[in-house]
Amino acid sequence: MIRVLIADDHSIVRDGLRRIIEDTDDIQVVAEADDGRAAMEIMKTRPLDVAVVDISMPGMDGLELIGQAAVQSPHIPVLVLTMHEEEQYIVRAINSGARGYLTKRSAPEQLVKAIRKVHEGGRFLTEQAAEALAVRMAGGRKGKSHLDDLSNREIQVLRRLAMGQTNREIATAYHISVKTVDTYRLRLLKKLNLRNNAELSRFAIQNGLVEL
Amino acid sequence: MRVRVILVVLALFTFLSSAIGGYLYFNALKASSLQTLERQALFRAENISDQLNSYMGGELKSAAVLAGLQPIRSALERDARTASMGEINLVLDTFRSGLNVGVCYVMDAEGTTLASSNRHDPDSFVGENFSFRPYFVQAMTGSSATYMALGKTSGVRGLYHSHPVYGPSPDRPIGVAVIKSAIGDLESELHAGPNEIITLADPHGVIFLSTRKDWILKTLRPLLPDEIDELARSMQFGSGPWPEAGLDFSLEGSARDADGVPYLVFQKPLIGFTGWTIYYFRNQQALLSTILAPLSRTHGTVIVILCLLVGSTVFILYRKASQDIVRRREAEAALRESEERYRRLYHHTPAILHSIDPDGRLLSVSDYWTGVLGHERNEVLGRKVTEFMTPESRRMAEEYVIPEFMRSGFCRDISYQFIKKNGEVMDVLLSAIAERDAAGTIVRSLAVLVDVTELKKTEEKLKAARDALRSYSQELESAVRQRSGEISSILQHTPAVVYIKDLDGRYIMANSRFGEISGLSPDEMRGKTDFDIFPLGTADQFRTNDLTVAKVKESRQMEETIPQTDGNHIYLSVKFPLLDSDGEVSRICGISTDITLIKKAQEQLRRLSGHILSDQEAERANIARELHDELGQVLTALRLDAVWLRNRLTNLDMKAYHRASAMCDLVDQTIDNVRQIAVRLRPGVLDDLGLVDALEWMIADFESRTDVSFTFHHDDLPEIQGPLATCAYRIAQEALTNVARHAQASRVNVTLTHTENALRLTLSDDGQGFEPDGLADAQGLGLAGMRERAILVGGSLKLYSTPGEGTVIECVLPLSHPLKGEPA
Repeated sequence: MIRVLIADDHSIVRDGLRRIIEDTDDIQVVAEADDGRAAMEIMKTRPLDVAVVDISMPGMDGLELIGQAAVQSPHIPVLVLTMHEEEQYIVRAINSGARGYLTKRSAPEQLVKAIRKVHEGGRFLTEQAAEALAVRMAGGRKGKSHLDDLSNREIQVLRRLAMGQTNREIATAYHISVKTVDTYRLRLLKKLNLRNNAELSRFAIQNGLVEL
Repeated sequence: MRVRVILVVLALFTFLSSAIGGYLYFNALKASSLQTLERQALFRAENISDQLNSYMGGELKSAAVLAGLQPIRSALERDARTASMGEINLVLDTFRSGLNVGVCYVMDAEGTTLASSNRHDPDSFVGENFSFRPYFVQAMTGSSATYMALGKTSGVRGLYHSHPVYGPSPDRPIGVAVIKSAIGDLESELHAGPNEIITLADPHGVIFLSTRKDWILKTLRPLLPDEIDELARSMQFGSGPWPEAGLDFSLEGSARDADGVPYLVFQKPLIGFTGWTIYYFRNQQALLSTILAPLSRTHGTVIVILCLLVGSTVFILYRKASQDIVRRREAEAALRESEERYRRLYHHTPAILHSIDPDGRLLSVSDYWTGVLGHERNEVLGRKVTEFMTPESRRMAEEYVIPEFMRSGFCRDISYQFIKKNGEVMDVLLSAIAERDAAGTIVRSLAVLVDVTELKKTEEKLKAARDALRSYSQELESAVRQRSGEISSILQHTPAVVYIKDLDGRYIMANSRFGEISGLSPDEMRGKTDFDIFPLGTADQFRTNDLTVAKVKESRQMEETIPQTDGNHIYLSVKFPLLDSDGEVSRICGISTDITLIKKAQEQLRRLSGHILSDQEAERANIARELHDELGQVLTALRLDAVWLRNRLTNLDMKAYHRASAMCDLVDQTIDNVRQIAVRLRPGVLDDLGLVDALEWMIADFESRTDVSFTFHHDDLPEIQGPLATCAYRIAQEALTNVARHAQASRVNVTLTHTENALRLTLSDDGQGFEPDGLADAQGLGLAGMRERAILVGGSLKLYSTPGEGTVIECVLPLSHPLKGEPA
């Protein structure tokens, strides 16, 4: 049985989440907290397997909570469950020590899967979160690199090309036209002084944009 | 040239006269020589005649002796055929050899040759009859005869001497004895000289003898037909024909042969032969040369030397003369040229020149004179110069100037008025000098006229202009006085402080308003410096600003603070240099307006707008948070339940299931809308994660919505929040919005760097750029808003843009600046 803490300042949200979790046999909500401080207290005192934490909370906010939890109770994996869909939050949460990141919107479909994953010691990231993380990792490296000259979108397109996605797939993913994707591709080749997609792939791997 | 011709003619005369003299002398010499020669020739002709006569008569006696010899007579008396021919032949042979003649023979009374000394010769004519020969006929008449003829048998010219042979009867000859001398070499015996021809001709003119062999048996003159008959009959000269020798006797005493050689001819009848004539021809040319040869031999050298002397003398004289002539001609040419030059100068100099005689009549006028006055030269020469003047000028000239000039020979700058042909009056200044002859009398003048019409006009204009200028300057003066009164009033009543200082900072002028501030009257201020009037700090401030303006030589605007009784007042001062005529700064002028109240109002306004902005931001943040967190969470909870419901209804009630699905979608959409509204109001990232993340998010958002490629570089910065973050974020948002709307850029670079105490945000694009001063108000307002935001946090904003070369916005914000009223 996986014992779960749900930290969220909105009780109706907590109720909703509880209902989702209660539909399973192996997961049980053992504690609830409506602010960060309370959640931290619970994590320190109660036996827990997974903490599901919202970012925006009064008192100690989610990110702070993750940071402290990583220090004080590193054995409890934290799964961030939030309204925020901006990748900046994702990156920040993962960097702070969260093991997984989930938007509340996708909770009904993925919360259970995510809890199980982090409980097993894995990482749970949606495709979007993984990409944001890769892009940020690439951009945040020290020293000068060709990547510095690339825009966010260019790095995103580069990563997906390196992963073997077609222009059409990329276009659909970003809600842009196929032609624009091709324009990005040509611009990338020119900026990076590369000849083809194979070389693009090699470049992306060398720069840590894609994990093998 | 003429002299040269004369010289040549004289030389010719000299030559001619000496030639004529020589010729006359020569002719006289020739005439006398010819006379001598004629005499000599005559004498010679006589001589020859005698010689021939003696020769002709030489054998006549021998013939008589032969005729008288017995054997001859007896032979003729007897029958010839019985006579002793041997005896006769012996006699004949003896005579022939003894006399050394051609042949001796005897004829009977019938004329038949009985015997002959040439009887053995091939040309023997024994037995032939010569009764037709005159010498036979004449001998038979009883007288001896001499006859010259061509031998019938021998064809040799001969001289026949016949004598009758008498038998017993003395009345009638019984035969004739003949001695014939061949005259083959008679000519040589005449010893004719090389230049003379001796000729003997019969009465018909047939030449029988001649020292010129080709004339023999030719005629001197043409033969008449009956003469030819007669000659042929007589057989005296063979059977003919007898051509003409080609002599021409047209001149008396002389003749020319067929070759045209002239001869002097002398005639002499041959005695004993009726009609026979001796002709003595003397070559005239040879004769002349005979005369002249000695002459030229003796005088030739003298003449040649004389000729050479005369020739060389003439030549030398001619050379001398021509040198002289050349010199004179050169001198003449030089004179002519100088005259020509003078004439040209006179006519072509663009000066009005004329000359008058002592009566005042025009002798000459220059081309320019005629050109300017318009008269033709031929209609003015000879007329009085005063006729071309105005009456006043004429009176002056006649009464005063000309008499005076004729006395002194000089006048200068006489002011006349001439009348042109077209009636125009021309003002001139006339100067003249007189030309005098050897006796010192004035013969003519040389006058130079200077047209001063224009000058006069110009002077008049100048005078008018000067008058106009004077009245203008009077007007100007009054205007200036009025204006300066106005300016004084303005200076006096303006609320602004106006002053002028010299470069040492001493007041030269200050208006009364300044007096009120400084507590001194304007007059008292004059000569004082700021240090004399104001506290040290204030004076320092003034002095520094003055010096800056003096240095940059440009007008500057600055704020200055002047302490007054009710506290510090802030003045907006416009200071500008006054330049002297060399363009150097000599004064500083300042106009200062009290803006203390405006400043205060402005400050209040700024604070107010800062409050409004921060309140607005706070409001926005609150609403956004409410929306996002409260409404959002509720919606999320709703969605959780809706999904739960939907999942429960799966396979139970499809209708309800679809309803639940639609509910989910609706909730999803609503969440999206709420999120968008919230983000538009104020992105949560800015408050939750700070400036860097907010910028990163915004840039990614712009990139996903446009075709522009954005890059974002930033220092490793601490989380920046608060008003500074809001300010930077809003500025970047405004700038990027402008780029997306107007720049047509393909790239935008955003950098965020920091120094110890400032944050620097730079946004540069490669778009079309623009003229910063030419912004429309609406756009300008956006820029003003950005700037205002920067100023509110104590920072600054600069914009660089050039059409076609993109835009750069650089914003520098101080890192620690307190701004109240901004939510955390």
